[in-house]
Amino acid sequence: MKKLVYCLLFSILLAYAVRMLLYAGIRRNTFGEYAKLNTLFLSRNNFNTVYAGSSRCETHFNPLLIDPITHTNSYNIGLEGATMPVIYDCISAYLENSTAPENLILNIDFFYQVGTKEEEMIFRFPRYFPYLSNTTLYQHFSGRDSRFPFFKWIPFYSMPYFNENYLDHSLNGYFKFRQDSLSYVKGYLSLGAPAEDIDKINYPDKIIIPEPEIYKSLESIIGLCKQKNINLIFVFSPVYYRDFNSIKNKYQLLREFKKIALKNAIPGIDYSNVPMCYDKQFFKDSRHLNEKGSAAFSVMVAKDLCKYVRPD
Amino acid sequence: MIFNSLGFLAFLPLAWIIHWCIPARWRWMFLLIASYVFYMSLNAWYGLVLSGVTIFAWFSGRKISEGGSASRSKSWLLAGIIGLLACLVSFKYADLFYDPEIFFSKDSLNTHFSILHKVIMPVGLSFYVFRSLAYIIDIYRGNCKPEQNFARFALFISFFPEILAGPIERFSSFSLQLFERHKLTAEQVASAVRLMVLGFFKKLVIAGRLADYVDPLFSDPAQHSGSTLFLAGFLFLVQLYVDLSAYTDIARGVARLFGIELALNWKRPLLAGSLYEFWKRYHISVTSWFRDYVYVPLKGNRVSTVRWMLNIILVFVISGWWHGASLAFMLWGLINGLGYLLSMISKNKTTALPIRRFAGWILTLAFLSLSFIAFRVNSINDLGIIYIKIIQLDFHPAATINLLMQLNHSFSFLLTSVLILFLFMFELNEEFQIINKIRGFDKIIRPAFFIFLFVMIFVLGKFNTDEFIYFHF
Repeated sequence: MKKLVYCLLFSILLAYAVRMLLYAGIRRNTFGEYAKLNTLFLSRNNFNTVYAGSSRCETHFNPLLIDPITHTNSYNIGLEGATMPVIYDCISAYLENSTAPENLILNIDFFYQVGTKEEEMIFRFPRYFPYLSNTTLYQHFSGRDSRFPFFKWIPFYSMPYFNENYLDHSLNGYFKFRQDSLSYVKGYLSLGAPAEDIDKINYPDKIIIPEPEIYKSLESIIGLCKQKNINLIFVFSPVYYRDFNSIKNKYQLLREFKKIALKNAIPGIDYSNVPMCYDKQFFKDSRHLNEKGSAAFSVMVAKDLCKYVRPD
Repeated sequence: MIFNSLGFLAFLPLAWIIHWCIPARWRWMFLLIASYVFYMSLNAWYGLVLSGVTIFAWFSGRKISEGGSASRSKSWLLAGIIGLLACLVSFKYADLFYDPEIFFSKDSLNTHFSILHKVIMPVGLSFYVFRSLAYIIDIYRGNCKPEQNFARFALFISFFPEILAGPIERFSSFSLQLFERHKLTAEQVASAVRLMVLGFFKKLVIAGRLADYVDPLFSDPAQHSGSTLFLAGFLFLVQLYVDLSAYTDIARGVARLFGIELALNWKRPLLAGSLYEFWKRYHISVTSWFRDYVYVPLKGNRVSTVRWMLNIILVFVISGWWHGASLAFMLWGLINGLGYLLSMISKNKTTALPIRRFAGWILTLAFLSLSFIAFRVNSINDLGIIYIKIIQLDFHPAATINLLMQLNHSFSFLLTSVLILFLFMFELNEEFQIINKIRGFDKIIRPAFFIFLFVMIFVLGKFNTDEFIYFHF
């Protein structure tokens, strides 16, 4: 029986060691999504401007095109599937190691649902596991999903969520055998051509009712910016007109956000009705601009932002 | 609850602790209760079918034994066989009468009993019906005595580690083990844990990953080249073996924790040098069941050569039919029956020369990769498409590799290839005991290896994998 107990202890030790090695590999990634997460949660950054939001932010704001026009040094911290509460968590976690930026450009969205179940609140949550050493991120996520303390401390609980993706990225971190298939530049992700004609898609009429948690988190972001003296700017980036028009209460929703902006003296720029919204050549899908679209949008938004941002 | 579920993770330690804490004379009764709890946790309705089959088989066994005259015993035996087979057929093949089209597709594998819609076929039904059939036939043949205690017989039929997918134990040998008093040793627990770790590794790491390649390739065979489909056949052969043997490994490990030794069901069939050898190593409890209760009653090889050949082919076709009421399964049986015959005829000509054995191994794997395509296809049409492409030698190896790398992530393809290689190396070592001879193997290498496997289950396991393949049968 003594031998069995030793084996069990060795298994636990090995599990911790293997997980530590996997995380260390992931943190060495210099390309792709993990490289971005490394910058976001672990690096000491000094960016003058930060773009925050969901995948719409991640794929719309190209810092390489914006920076020369606005004279800023910016980074895109938009994350796929991030809802307003997670955006708030990530901005807070970013600030743990990095200097507070002069400007925070928040891409406003009402397309997502925060979710009622704990497991639904953080989209693709296993990608954040290697960054739970960031105490702000850990505390915020633990508050949203009670499994996070177990994810952090018990390898046998977190590792079943890894799969080969983790091993792949970890080995890539150590051996640099390939660049990631998704190309990120200063946090911006460029998307290719659409997989199907977005005009052939049916856009049924819908009414979107944002959950109170979205407004609550937005208020938290505003509070954080005031506290850190960050110049907050709201942007509503383009959506393909057919999808946008299918939202029956779209103007009411935009009014709600404008009201919050007005109340807090936050500048807001609305691109929901610009000409590019009517041209499908700019879109990957109805809510995401492709490379061409994001280039056009980045130049457009940069010119408009010049009026509001504090330069580097 | 199945072996790879969270429920079982709680059930097993609890059952194990209670089993060894209660007085020895009550243990078998506890195992009976635990077995029914385990089985009915899948669906309470299953318990009804299980107890029905148990009562019927036990009653038939007693009547056969009490028969009085040979003809009365025979009548009771026939009644027992017909009753048990009727139960199996009515659940398994009723769809066929309801919708004959199923014969050409494989929809019956989704086993909805069409007449009584939404009544699902109990998982493992085939296995406990086969156990029951073996029991009554053995009583008739005088190979075993009927069990007088119904509860004890019920435990033999329902013993939870083997109820879902075998192995199919025989009452005469297995009942002795079930009811004798056991002692638990540390080595017994260690070897049980090793078996379970190996089983979970095979299921969650290897079989789960292979399914990611096999399923899409067989879903639309017309889109793929002959080489891709041939490789798909090979991958499915490996997946099926890994999945089935994983279940047996876990079942044997779990049973061993309770002091009970289940029969060895697999003897590294993928290393067989001929088809004859393959069927001696593959799913041993099922193949020996078909030998003892189908082949032998057909008078086996004590008949003319032509009849003997027919007997062999018939046994294989029936075995294919057992897997499902589909033409493809019957063809699978027919192809393997013919292959087995050829292999038997030529078996005396083979020598122990390594090069001939190696060639035999390659040929056997190639034949099995082809024949198991019939086992996996979704319809008879798909089978035709695949075989035509292979016969036409529509082979493009480079495009095949490229496709497999695109199908999932290229790293996943690399990992899957490494895991298949690992499986063959592991089996080779088990066969020839290469590393096992190294000094310190038992003390250091083996524990270290299994600790590594255990941790790798968590790192590489696919925890969303479906149930074990043989639950469908």
